[in-house]
Amino acid sequence: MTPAVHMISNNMISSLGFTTAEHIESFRLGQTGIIPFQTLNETFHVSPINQALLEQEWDALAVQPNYEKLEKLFILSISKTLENQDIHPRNDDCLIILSSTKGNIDVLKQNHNRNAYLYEMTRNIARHFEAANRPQIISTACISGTLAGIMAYRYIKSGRYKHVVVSGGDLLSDFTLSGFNAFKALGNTDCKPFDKNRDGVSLGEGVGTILFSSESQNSDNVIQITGGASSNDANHISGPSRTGDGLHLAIQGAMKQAGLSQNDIGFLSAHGTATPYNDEMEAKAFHLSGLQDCPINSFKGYFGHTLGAAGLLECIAAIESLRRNEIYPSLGFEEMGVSQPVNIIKEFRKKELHHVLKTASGFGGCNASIIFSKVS
Amino acid sequence: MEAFANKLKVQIIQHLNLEDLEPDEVGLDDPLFGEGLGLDSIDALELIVFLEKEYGIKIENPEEGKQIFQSVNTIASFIQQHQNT
Amino acid sequence: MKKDLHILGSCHIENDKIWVNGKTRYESSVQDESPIAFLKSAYKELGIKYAKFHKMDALCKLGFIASEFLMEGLGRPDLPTTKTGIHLCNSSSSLDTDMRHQESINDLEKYYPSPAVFVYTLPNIVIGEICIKNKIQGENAFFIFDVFNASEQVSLIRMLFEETDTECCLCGWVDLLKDEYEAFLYWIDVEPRNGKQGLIFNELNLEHLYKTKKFV
Repeated sequence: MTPAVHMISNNMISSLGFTTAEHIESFRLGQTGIIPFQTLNETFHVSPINQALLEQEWDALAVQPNYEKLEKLFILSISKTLENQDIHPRNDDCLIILSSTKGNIDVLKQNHNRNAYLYEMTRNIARHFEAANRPQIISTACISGTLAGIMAYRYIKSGRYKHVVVSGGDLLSDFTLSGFNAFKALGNTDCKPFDKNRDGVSLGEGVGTILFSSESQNSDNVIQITGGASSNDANHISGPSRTGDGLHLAIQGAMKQAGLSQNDIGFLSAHGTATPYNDEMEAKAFHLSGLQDCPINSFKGYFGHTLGAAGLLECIAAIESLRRNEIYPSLGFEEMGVSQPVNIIKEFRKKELHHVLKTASGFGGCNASIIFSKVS
Repeated sequence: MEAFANKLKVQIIQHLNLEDLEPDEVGLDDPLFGEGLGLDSIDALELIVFLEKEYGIKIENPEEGKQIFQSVNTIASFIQQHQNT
Repeated sequence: MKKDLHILGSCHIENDKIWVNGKTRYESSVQDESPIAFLKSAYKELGIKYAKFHKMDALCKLGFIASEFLMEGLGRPDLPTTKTGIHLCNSSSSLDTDMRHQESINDLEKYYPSPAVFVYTLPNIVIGEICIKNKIQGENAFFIFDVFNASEQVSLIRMLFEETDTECCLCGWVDLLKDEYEAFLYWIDVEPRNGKQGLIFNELNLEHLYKTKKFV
């Protein structure tokens, strides 16, 4: 008998707050955490975490302070996720999987800081939790977080571990701002995914953590991962595919695994970075997959593009949609701006949901998709 | 003008790491993108950086680049126009 | 009963030398070359013309060269492209190029971040480059570890084959930072391909292949 993979608890940290509940409140009210911000002699529209709140939260945790900023965020998010749970990484049957694109990128300016190595950061975090197993970290561009969720699914389903803590995080940094800016990929306003006037990404920072387990805890409204797959466009290292066939392949893989067809998907949380080419590619892929009528949003309008955290923060947002039977508007969207129209959510409303799909795509031509289902 | 265009061609080949190409293989009016030299979107962005760094000319809108980056000659005359003003 | 998987080929690159399926395939005649110079001479040895190679950063060049020699050793088989995966890992991520990008932004007086450098500040770009060359569209993942660990590799790759319809996968380690580099790629298949039997994919065989470079 193959074990099912249940969502037990989660936590979101971004500009919108340090709890999942604060994020849901912002989604319901359509409030963004994106603000104008001055650095590198320019103004950028970004979604930064409140530093004073971070210090306050960290002090409340009362642990030794010698951690880097991102490590603090990871430790806070994982601690909050494990609160009141019997499951803990110090037990043999529990694995920690992190996801990040750049890790402690803020220490790169300092020479010879070992914490610039992603595995060093991973080990620092695992040591804090006295992890029994060697932790893992995925660094696969902007699909990292979604892929970490897929790996958790595979580890539990194949019986290798009973419990997996997945946590994805990345910082807002001059490193990524200058790079995306050189790519002319940053918008001049708050990002507007799928909108006619979209002109680029708003970068953000955050951490999202989910505890998955083969054991389910409560009897009603159990959320499970039922499928997941990744793929590659094999087309260009930075330009999104012109056909969307790579993302379509990842969606098909996840649907096949879940035993579902397009009509079963009640809500789709897209990647929706708000660059002209990305959103166009996604719209084509959703058409190829027969999902053009499915209610779709991008959460980027709320907390920006959080890179290696994006997949997990947006998986949690999708899970909470599913659990609460609510769908949230795609902030920044006014007028259809993709050549093959898709059904973008314009306002907060209640909707009975059974299965939701989360997709992600990134540099290197990679794509990933994961399906969450509600079992009553 | 032609001497300048030839110098520019060598600079571009170096800047874009087009190592398999000898300068003689590239005509001054050959299309740089698509069927021509096969440059891609990253090269176009890199040419924007190149113009700013080497010639102090800023291009804010990448769409503008499409007109300018048609061939070595179009880039050369764009640079000369901007240096004269 | 879970089916056995097979290691059908391998490629090691270190110390200016390339081994394919346990045998020395190429050795540079120049002593103490930079990794970039060595990889360029290895590219010439391959006898292919692929303009994108020259634009790659050093990590991608290393992974690309290793994948090309591996494919050559496999006899360049027809691949089930949507069921072919690439699963790579290393310890330095893309730090080698990260440092180049960081240097270009440290001083606002000399601030010229390059898009052609920035795009390589992700370790999985090497997967993208290999996918583009070979039209591979299956499962993708890049993991970071401190060292190559055969047990972790076997667990991850076995899981990939058990839980997806992957039929073959390019796997391994590709690491580069400044003058230090090491690549160890290997090919995993559900069945013998191109008449190659290979080795049974288990921790013992993989560890032995990695450490001794002997394909037995």
